[in-house]
Amino acid sequence: MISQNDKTYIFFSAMELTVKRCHEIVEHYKSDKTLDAILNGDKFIVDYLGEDYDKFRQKLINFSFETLEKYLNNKHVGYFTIESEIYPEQLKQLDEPPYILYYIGDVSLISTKCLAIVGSRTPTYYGREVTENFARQLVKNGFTIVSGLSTGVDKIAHETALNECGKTIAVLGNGFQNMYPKSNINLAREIAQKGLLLTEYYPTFQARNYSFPMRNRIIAGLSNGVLITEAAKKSGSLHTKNFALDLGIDVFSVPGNITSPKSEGSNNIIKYGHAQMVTTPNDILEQYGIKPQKVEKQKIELNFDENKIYNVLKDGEKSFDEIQCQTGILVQTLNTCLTTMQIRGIIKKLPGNYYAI
Amino acid sequence: MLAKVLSFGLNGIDGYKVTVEVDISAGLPKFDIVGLGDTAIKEAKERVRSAIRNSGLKYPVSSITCNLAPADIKKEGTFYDLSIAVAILSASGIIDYKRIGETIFLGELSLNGEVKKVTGLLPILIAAKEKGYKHFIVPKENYFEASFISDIDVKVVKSLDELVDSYKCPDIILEKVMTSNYEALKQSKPTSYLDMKNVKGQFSAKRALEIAAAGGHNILMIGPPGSGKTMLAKCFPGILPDMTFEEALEVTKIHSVAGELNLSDGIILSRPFRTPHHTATSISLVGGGSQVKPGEISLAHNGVLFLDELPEYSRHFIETLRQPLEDGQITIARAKQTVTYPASFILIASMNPCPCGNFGSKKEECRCTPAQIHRYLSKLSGPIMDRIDLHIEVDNVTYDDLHTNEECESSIDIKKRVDKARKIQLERFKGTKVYSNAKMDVTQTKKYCSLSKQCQDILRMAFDNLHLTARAHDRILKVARTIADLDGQAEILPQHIAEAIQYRSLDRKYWE
Repeated sequence: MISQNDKTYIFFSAMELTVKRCHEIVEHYKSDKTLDAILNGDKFIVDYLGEDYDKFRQKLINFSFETLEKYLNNKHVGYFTIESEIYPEQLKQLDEPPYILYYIGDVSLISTKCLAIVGSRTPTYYGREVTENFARQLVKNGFTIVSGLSTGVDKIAHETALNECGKTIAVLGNGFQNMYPKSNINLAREIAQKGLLLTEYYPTFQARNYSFPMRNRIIAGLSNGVLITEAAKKSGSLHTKNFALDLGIDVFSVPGNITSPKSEGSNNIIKYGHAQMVTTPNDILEQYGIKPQKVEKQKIELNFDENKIYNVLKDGEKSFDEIQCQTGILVQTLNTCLTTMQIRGIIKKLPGNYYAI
Repeated sequence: MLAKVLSFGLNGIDGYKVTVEVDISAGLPKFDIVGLGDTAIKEAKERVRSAIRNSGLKYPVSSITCNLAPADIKKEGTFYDLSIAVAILSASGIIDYKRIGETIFLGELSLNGEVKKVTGLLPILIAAKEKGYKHFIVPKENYFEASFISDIDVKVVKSLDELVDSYKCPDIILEKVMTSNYEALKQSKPTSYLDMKNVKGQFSAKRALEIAAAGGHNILMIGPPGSGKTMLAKCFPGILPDMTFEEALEVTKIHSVAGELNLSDGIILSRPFRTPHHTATSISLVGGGSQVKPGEISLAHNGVLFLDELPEYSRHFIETLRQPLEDGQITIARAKQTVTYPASFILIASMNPCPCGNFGSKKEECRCTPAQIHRYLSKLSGPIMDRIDLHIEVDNVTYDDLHTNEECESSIDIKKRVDKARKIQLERFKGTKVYSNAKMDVTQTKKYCSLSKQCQDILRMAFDNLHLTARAHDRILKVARTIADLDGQAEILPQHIAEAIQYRSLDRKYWE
């Protein structure tokens, strides 16, 4: 059975009532009396909702909490409200703490040591590498990775966490019935099984352009720190940074190439002192007093040509032509070497016929 | 009076005999042509009448009926004009009917009696020769086109009265076509393609084109705008092996039917390079229309079809390429006729990596969403990608590349290697219909592309580590075979497999 208090919040989330209005109404009536007040047409609520009041009342009369409960049970969707015991303290410190959170998966993850990794939806190769590297090391050292299940950095962060058998929380900007983006549905399923999907939106809610910045506050609210791996000047991940700063939690940023527009945002927040600059995962671990696990370096054996290629690529990513010019290796031999080195995992091929270590 | 004169009709690039029968009888003056002629043939009446009169000859004022037999096949074109005129003249006794015999007349008439050029002469001559006809009278303008068929007697004529005179007085003899030599003509007219040495940088793309030329593989170039994809493609015919005379004849036949033949050469000397624009209709590309004409893909036969910006072509068109890419011919079926044109070409396609073109570029930022990129790439269906063996990425050329004085390899040098590799293949596929590695079927691939243990290991590792898709497997084998041929090796060696794997960009998963 859904308690009367919870019903209020569920109903409000179904009506997509804003956080601010919800808190004002609940403050007036307390959550167990609010629905009655709506049904009975109490003066405060009629005045407060104004034109919307009739819509609310009509909806409430038709609203079946039994059907909803069945649906939630079927889909293994849980929820907790702002009055719940498990509601994280840090979330309450937000300006607009979500009044209800629906979840699928292991809800205990919200009380673990969490670190948010956010960034560009279209990262460069550098951004991908950085995200993967940091996520891997953080997971290995016991962090739960929080992100927004968007494409790009979010996706890589989640995937890396899962690949390393770590824990991850995805905070959505949509209801569970309308997953967005569609390309991440399989990833969402996997997170539902091995991690936690979290959203403040009612299951039928469709993602709007405002719902993504809103979910960023939850990402910050759940985490002990926020890491921005790559962000352009107007990246949405900078919202997350603002929420984190308001909450007073750590913000980390990985510096990028100053000529790359894709790194402008992440570089700027270092420049203006909003974020702490990190260049290795250990910088973050140190901040939390964790001793990093030692990673053994593999020795790579290379033949003469491969060694030449390796040395050229040490300076950074190079195009095929550049490698050819600098090493002087015959085109066909170079092709062969590049393939074998890729197969052995020594180098990577990037879009546009570029190669990197 | 009745007269019968031979002519030939065309169905696609195959010719069939047409007998032009003319009957002149007493009655009100009229002139009817029967035998399923198209508008051009109906209009022949006016041309023939004026041409006869203006040549100073007597046009019979009687009832004239002309039949084009077989009467149940639809006939098209203007080349029956001459035979109709000759038939009328012999039926009215101006030309001695007995002297015409088995001669085949082809030519269009102008109102003043001149004999004008016709299209499709070469395929008619070839078909007629196969059917045992030896004597032809054709327009003077088509002289060179007729000069490449040996063992037949072709005479050219400039005007109708010249023809009539030659029958009237034995002194006047029509000019006879001398056989020209294809090789000599080719030597005297060196073809000028863009030379590979003018392309600076782009080493990997050049190498891939060399492999494509050597093995007859289709190739897709992916790169940002301005990276030189089009220029590379234009250099490509220059590294292809020269056409043999038989190949040239086949190409000329198609171009002759399409009316695209340069009459001063009479034969196509260089491999065709066709670049249809993406706004072209699918009929103009694959062929068809009310008179079923060969389309761009047939005109590219034995040559190169270059599709710039492949995803811009309509999906429908891209899919129609499937059959020709597989069979080397296109069958166009219409209610009235079904025509098969050869269409065996090397497909060179180019495309941008994403709608804005800058995905993966180091110069400009790509502004496409992953969904947009996905939609763009999904225009190329799996079956089409299956038929393209090589995909390569072409990156932007730097300023330094453009201004380097270093001489790049010229097309002629590359061509020498290509010729060598082709020779090996011709030897290998002797007695089969296949002549290049790209056209190998499954059994042949198994037979000629067997891998040593070491090669298999590399391939397996590549599949596991580089996330290649299954469809890449056979493509890699075929390309590796070509690379081994270029290397002069009988067996496929590990380095050949490794290089072949490099040319499967689109199979890689980073493309998302």
